[in-house]
Amino acid sequence: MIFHPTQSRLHGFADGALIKKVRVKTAAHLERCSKCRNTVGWLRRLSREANALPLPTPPPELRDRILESLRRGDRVILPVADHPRPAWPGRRVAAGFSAIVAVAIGASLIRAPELASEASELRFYPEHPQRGDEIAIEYHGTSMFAGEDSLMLRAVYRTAADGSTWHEDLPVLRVATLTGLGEGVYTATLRLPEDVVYALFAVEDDRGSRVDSRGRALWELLVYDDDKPDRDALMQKTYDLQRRNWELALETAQQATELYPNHVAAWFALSSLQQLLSGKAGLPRELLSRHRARFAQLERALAQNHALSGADLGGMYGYAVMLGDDVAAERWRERLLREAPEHDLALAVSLSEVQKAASTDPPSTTLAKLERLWATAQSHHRRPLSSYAFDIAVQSGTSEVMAMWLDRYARVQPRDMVLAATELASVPVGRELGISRLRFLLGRLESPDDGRFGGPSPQAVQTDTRAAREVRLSTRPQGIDRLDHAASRVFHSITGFNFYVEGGTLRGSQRKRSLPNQESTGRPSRKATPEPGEG
Amino acid sequence: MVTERERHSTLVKGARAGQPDAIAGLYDLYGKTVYGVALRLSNSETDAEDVVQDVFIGLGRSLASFEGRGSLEGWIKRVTARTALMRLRRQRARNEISIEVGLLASAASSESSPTDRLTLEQALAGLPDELRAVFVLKEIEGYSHREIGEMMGIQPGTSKIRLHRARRELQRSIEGTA
Repeated sequence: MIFHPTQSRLHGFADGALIKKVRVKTAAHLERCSKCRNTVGWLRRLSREANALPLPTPPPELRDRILESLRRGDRVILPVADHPRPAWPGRRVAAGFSAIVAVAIGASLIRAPELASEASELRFYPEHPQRGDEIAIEYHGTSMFAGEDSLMLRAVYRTAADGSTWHEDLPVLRVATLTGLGEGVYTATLRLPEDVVYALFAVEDDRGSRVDSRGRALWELLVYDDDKPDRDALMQKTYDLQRRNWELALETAQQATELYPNHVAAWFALSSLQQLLSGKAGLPRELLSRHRARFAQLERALAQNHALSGADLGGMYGYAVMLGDDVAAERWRERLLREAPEHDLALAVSLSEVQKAASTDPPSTTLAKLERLWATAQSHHRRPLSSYAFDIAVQSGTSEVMAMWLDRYARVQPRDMVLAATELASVPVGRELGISRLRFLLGRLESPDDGRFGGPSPQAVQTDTRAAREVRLSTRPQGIDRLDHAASRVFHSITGFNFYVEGGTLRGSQRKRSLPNQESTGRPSRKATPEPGEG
Repeated sequence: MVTERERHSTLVKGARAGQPDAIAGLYDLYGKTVYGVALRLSNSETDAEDVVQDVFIGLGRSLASFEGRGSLEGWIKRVTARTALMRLRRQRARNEISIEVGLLASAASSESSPTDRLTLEQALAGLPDELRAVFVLKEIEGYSHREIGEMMGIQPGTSKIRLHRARRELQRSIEGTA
């Protein structure tokens, strides 16, 4: 009985894409098998003939149409890059679209230690699940995970309640264990929580030291509503992409407006992204007038509705701002603050007003206003709020107030505690408090692998409303990264300790001399900062 | 005397400045190529014309991102492919085109030429969008699976699978009419 190569192998042979060993073996088979030889021959002829297809000619009037459009001033934004990953831009859009400007770099799936694999694949069955569905997952890995019996599936889950929160600010969860079936194939099943509409996945080994995040693009899963993507899923995808891939964010927002033409937030997101990509020149005239017409239609439909959601009110306010309609913006701003003060944009507006008044208000007044906002702010609002309040507290010069806001900031953003403490220690008024916090943190760094340093403690995680699910951050590399990259220089200047990474381990050493005018700060934790040669 | 290279450079400069004449000059040079890519990817003359129109209207502003490392023609073709694919994706979202394609059971016939019984153009036009796009980008435009993956937002492995499916479908179309 003759065993023929698979069709896939014959295609690979025709393309010249097989490795030498397989190519030689296949060639040997082809020498004696006319059937397979004919298949390869056919494929090669197909390729040649496809290449030789004549170029079609565009209709002659097309050139004139293009020139006429150019003269009219029409503008088009072309997709010039596949996966642009620029930083999130200007204040206007950021303040409107993404609620509040973030101040720190957060943990995320795409900041994990990266060993991307080109050929790996993560498949979901069903490909288009409904909310709460059970999903079978199949991972086809590469040699990156050779020898691993099981792998971990990490995810960022997004729900409608996440609003426009940035990707980096959401917890990374370990959602399933992938069991190896051999030949690089791993499987798992998981049930999507009912409220999850959009999820992003990466695969890692048990220690989190090797991560396949699809070349940082991640694998995504979009929840469907019958036969089309769920409205909230599309919005969450748009928000998630806002700092990762503008082109795809724009495309997703566009899809959301096409599938859900009455969804205000989608129009707001679309106009924000178009505005962003248009740069200083602003939205092209034709586009602007289309948006204005759409806004007018939405306003006619919603003005008399007094049971609108915060998302709708915020969307109308943001959309009006984007279109430069100050009168409408004021009208919707009032409604937003009155009817949905807890909404992302309402908080952004309130905070912005506090910030505006801060130039004339004494710090104590500003802090009192911030205290009131703090009382109603939801958990994901508290990070930027406490960050700003901390700045004002530093201006106030009162160490108790500084300590209070620093601790609040640390609670909502524990992984940036080092940054906050070093920042505080770098200003004269906060030096003492900052150093004491840094000493405390260093004391907690009990081992180079201490997960508590770079990420939330297990207790903190459990108090997080989202974190009933299993949570695990790749804290060790992130902790090193933060120390090494952001804080070590300031830290060194204050405490006299250097941090460096050697053989994947965090080490420390005490400097030989003290900087002028700085008191000795003593020696922190033994294990974290061994003397040279000690460990 | 103005060399071809200088003329080309002047056109690019003028296009970046938004001069219609310069864009018309680039259209004269690359319009046919752009239309070819657009037509094969979109499978519709109307859509292809829209894509070409979009490409040349947006070209001036987009040229800022052309760093001159490769050829301008290659860059324009790539932008055209992305524009056409984006349009296809939007249409797909509306129409939910199925890409399920049955596997071809029969082996290839012996010495037949792919275009003996049905023209390749016709068979290509009959392919589902996702399969045709991969086939056109790989076999006609010469992109690697990795590049195709980046353009289409799919894995290189998926691109390979789609290429295989496309070829099988073409074979079935061509030979099925025998």
